[in-house]
Amino acid sequence: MRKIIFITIVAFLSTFCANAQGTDTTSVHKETLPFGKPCGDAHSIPKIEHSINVGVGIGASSPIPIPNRISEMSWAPHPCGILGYRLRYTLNSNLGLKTGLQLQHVGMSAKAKVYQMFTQATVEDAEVSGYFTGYNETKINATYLSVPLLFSYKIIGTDWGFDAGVFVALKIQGHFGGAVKDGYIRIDTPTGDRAEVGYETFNFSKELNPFNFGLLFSAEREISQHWSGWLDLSWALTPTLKDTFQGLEYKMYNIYGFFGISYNL
Amino acid sequence: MKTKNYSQAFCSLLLICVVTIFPSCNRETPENMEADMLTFSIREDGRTVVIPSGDHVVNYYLSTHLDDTALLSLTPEITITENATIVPKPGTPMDFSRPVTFVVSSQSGDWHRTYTVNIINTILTNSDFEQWQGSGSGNNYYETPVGWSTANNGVRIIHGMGVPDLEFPTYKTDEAFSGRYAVAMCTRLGGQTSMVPNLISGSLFLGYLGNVTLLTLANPLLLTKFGVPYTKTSQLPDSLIGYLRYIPGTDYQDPRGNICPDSTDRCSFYAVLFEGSEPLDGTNIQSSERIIAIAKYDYKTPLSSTTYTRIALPFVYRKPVPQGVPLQYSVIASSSSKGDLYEGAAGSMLYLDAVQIKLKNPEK
Repeated sequence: MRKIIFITIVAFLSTFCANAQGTDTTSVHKETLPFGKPCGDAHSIPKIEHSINVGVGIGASSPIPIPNRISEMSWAPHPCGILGYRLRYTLNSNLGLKTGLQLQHVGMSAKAKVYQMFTQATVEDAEVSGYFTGYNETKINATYLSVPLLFSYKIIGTDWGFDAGVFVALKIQGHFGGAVKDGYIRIDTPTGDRAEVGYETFNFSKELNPFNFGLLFSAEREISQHWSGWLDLSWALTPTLKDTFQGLEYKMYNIYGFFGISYNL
Repeated sequence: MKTKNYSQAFCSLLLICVVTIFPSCNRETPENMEADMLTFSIREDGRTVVIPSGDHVVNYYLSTHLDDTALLSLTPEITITENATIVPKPGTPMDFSRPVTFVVSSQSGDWHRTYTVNIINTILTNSDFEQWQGSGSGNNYYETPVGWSTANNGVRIIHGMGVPDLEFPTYKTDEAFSGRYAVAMCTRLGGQTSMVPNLISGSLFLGYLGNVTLLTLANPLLLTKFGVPYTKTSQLPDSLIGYLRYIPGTDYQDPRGNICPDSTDRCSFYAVLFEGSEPLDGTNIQSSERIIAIAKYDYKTPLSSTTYTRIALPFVYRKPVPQGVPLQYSVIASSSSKGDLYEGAAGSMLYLDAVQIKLKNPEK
């Protein structure tokens, strides 16, 4: 995974740097700017565009694939939001590179029936781990400071543009907790002592992965000279909880979609 | 409409996401990893016992007395976890004159539980405490006299709750009155975490320890299920005899852990004969209306701390024996008589050996 992250970032940066060092203005149609809009000042194409994005979203932190020990799932999105700055560096009439800095809040609640699933729960002040059968409620809320690194493609003659790339994110704060209820836990092993569980809570907040990396896809449509509407899908490739965390037998990944508007400065 | 386009596009993206995730899901029913013996029965006897999940030893008391030769060929009927397997296969006659070990394996084959079944055909089996059986491993290993029950399995659960070094309160000792071994019961200091009681007294009884759960640990009186079938209905119990040695601990404490300087710990030793096929528990073992007779140590004979003292206690009958109703009895001993209320002194030691039940009108 680290190799993938490293290669992606190096590829992006090397493209970015190679072009930034170039002195020539990228050749574009003199008469038109991207998006096919007539340009008042045909002689200067903005090499760098800036925008401020604001948006809302929904999504989930989910194991992939969903293990067969989980069934009867229900999911409730928490309000998710994004506020960010993006910079687009033009390579040619179609292509560009995008980066920026964004504050991103994600969250969800999920309820599921689980069957002999390894987990940990804190009962009073004692930590119990084992194989739980019953109902599980999980709540996740986390805020990340994230840097997207995107290749940007604008479709000439339309208002549309698409971006694809990766993001790297640092967790600023987060909560991962919930409860297990109406079931039983086999202590330590599936054949361990059986303990009935009425309602016990767990809190894995300390186990949230401080670093997140993943794929980011974006679609954007220009509404006016300054305003655009956009849609993002971010799909984390690093798990939501630390790799070293043993309290769940599967890894969960953040998959969130956002839509919003951006003001192009 | 632009907004419509956006929502359409967003929906398609979500759809891509969903379509990507779900085909890769393995929705086959997961393999059952559990491997429990749920119930045990002897076809020739008919009584079925439900096995608490923590148990590895099954004491099956025959409900009617059989000749000892009948033990050479009894047919076990066993229910186990769905899709698990068991060796040896029940349903065919086996020799139960000695303990028989069954291994239950989970559907996945990765997990096993071993059960030792004792078929008990006498009133008061192993009452000199010479035969012991081990359960668990490592610091979870403890021994139990064959045919009897202790609360040690509850301590094993406490081990798993962050108090791994709590010693088992009931154990084998070679400081015996007769034979090689006797039972030692010691009141242990628990505490440490809020789920663990302040005091855990050593105990020994006929019956079984119910499912130890996070819930029942908070109410241990319901955990001890007293009673095994009383099969000699033609001869009722006359007196309970035992050899006891007792060393009360210092620092008697109340349930809140406050030291009571004027109080001294006491042991308990009693037997109860009662009607019905359901067990009694810690809440009603001395008060239930089903009780027919009780023989109880009343502290009139002082116990020595260095040598065994013979205690003989008459059964005091509260009512006549009802006809046509199954009878049960239990013999109960504890290192702290109020240990079930978390009252007593840590370190109180009760040694018990050579227990007998003398019967009325012995057969000629």
